Order: sequence, then C-alpha cells, then structure tokens
Amino acid sequence: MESPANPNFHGAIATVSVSQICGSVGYTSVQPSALRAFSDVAIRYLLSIGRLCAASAASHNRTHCNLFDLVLSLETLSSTRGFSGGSNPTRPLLESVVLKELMAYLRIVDGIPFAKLILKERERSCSLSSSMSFAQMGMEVPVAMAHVPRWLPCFPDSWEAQKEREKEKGEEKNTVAKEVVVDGSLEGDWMEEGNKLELGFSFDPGLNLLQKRERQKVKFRIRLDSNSARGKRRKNCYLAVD
Amino acid sequence: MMSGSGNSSGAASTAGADGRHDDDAALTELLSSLMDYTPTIPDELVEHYLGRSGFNCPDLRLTRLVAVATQKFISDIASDALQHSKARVAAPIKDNKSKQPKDKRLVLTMEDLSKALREYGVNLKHPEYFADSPLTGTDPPTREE
Repeated sequence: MESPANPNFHGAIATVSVSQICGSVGYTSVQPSALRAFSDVAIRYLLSIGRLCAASAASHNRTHCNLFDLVLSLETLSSTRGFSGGSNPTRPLLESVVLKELMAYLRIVDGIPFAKLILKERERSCSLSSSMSFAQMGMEVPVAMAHVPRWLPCFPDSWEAQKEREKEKGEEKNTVAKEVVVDGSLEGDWMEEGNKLELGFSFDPGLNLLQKRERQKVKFRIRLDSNSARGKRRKNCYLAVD
Repeated sequence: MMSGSGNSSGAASTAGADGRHDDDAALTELLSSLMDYTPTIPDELVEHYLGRSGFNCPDLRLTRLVAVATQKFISDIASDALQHSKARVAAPIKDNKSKQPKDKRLVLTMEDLSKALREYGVNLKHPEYFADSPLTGTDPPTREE
C-alpha cells in the first residue's frame, strides 16, 4: 500500500475495495486496466453523490446535508436506469424505492471489512483551540478589536505570550529541582580540648539557591577522640545530632 | 351512509397512518443497522471524497449510507459484467476440432465492464492498440513531410 502522503493513496484504497467487491460477486481475477477504470468510476460516483447532496442542501438554505438530500441525489443518479415512482413529483422521499433497495441490500449482503489497515496521516501540529471561536472558548474580544464578532476564531497567540509561557514553565522546573537538590555550606571551628577535638558547625541548606519554603536548620557535631589505651593512639569520629 | 363513508375515510386514514408508522420503523431500523454493518469501502475514504465535493454532515450514519449505496452500485455493475462474461463463456465453440477446455476462471475484462457500464450511462471505450508514435499508421508521403 502506498503511504498516506502519496496523492494516489486514495485511489489505491478504492482499487482494493473494488477488487474485494468483485471477488464477493464471483470474479476470480480481473484485468488491471479494467480494475483501474472500475475504481475510477466508483470514485466519480462518490464525488457525484457528494456534489448533488451539497447542491440540494444549498438550494434549501442549509449548510449541512440530511437524509432527504441524500435520497434526492441517489434518485438523480438512478434516473438513467429509472426507478418506480419517479414520475410522481409529490412522492414521499422517505418511502423512495431507492431507499428500500438499500434496505434489502443490507439485509441480504453480509458486511465485508476492508482488507488492509489504512495508515493515517500524522496529526497536524495546529491545535484545535486555534480554530475555535471567542464564544466557544468563553473569551472576550480585546477592547482594541471591538469590531471583531465573537463567532470568529480566536486570534493566534503572539510571540510575547509564548515567551511568558516558556518562562513560567522554566521557573517551575527550577523550583522542583531546588526542592530535590540540597546544598549547603559548612562553617565550623576545630577546637581541641585535651584529647578531644570537637568540630561544631551548623548546616544551612540552600544558601546559594533561592527557595520558596524555609527549611529547618540542623546542627550536629563531629567529635574526634584520641584513645591512648594500649599505647596506641586512635582517633574516633563521632556524629552527634543536637 | 354518512356514517359508512365516515368509517371508510377513517379506515383509510388509519391505514395510511399505519403505513407511515411501518415506513418510519423500517427507516429507524435501517439507520440503526448501519452502525453494525461494515461496508467494504472504508469510512475514511468516503469522508475524504465527500469532503472534497462539499458534502458536510456530522452524522456518521449518512456517511455509512453513502458507502453502502456506492458498494451496491459497484456490486450491481460487477454482477451485470459477470452475466456478460458467463454468456460469452457459455457460447458454443465454432471450431469443434480444438480440444481446448473451457476456462472456468471468470476474469473481469474491459469488454464486459464497458457493456455493463453502458446500461448505467457510463461510456467506457478501451483503445484497441497503443501507437508508439503519432505518425504510426499514416501514409509514407505524409511521414516524409
């Protein structure tokens, strides 16, 4: 199968669908030229239905097509072969023979799903909110643009607004990092009292960084004892938390 | 008599109302069955071509109905072409000396397809040969010129 970006992608899908229908009817093989022509006819039929439906809706001051438009277009396309009740201009559309034939077709023929997986194009980068109107977004039109009606799409974000948003995102990252990383400075004096060497200092986390919340200061001492027992001089380090 | 005529008109009106109810029920059933039916032509393809032609409808059931109508159209043409090919295969062989077995494989050809499409108002003409240059088949003096 061709890629979705290829302009012949839709034609290839139509060719596969038509070949499946031919297989369901009873054909075992098909000439390539006949298959190409047949799939082209199928595409033209689809386009004709859409065009006739759109024209019918527009002639009735509507933008959306409905079932009546569809029935009218199917009857128009069936007019070459003719259908029962076509001569009656006051015929009810919902009781059209064309619709009844479709109902009978649905009852008789089982559904045949499409043979291959259809690759979809990547979603476009433009967000849905860019096409929504002011009224849909619940926003008010800027005072400087009071002449713009609310049913028009919103203005695209300016580069200044994007910069501010990026700044806000950057600050959030920094605050999160500051809460995780703990850094502090050590200040202390070594004191020697006899055989003891005491180091008293206070640990103040986050001196170099800006913090949103204050942390409790933790004080602890490291003591160095020299043990002269057995003639050996040992130095042991103790950590005491105050 | 007046009451009789009144009764007959009343009966006709009730019969008409019943008929309309049946039609509405059939239509409701059709639209509900569309979501369970999987047409061979995928919805994405139908939506693409309908969008190209200006068809605008958010209801998926109408899109499915278009897909089913197209599938029926193609199926009818293919069935007619199949009848043409079967009639051609079933024709008696003039040369009885040849012992070629009848090829039972049914192949959709341009000839059968064009015959079937002619009934639907589509004129499909397949060229008999392809010329390698525009001057192929012209007279020699014309070529020299």
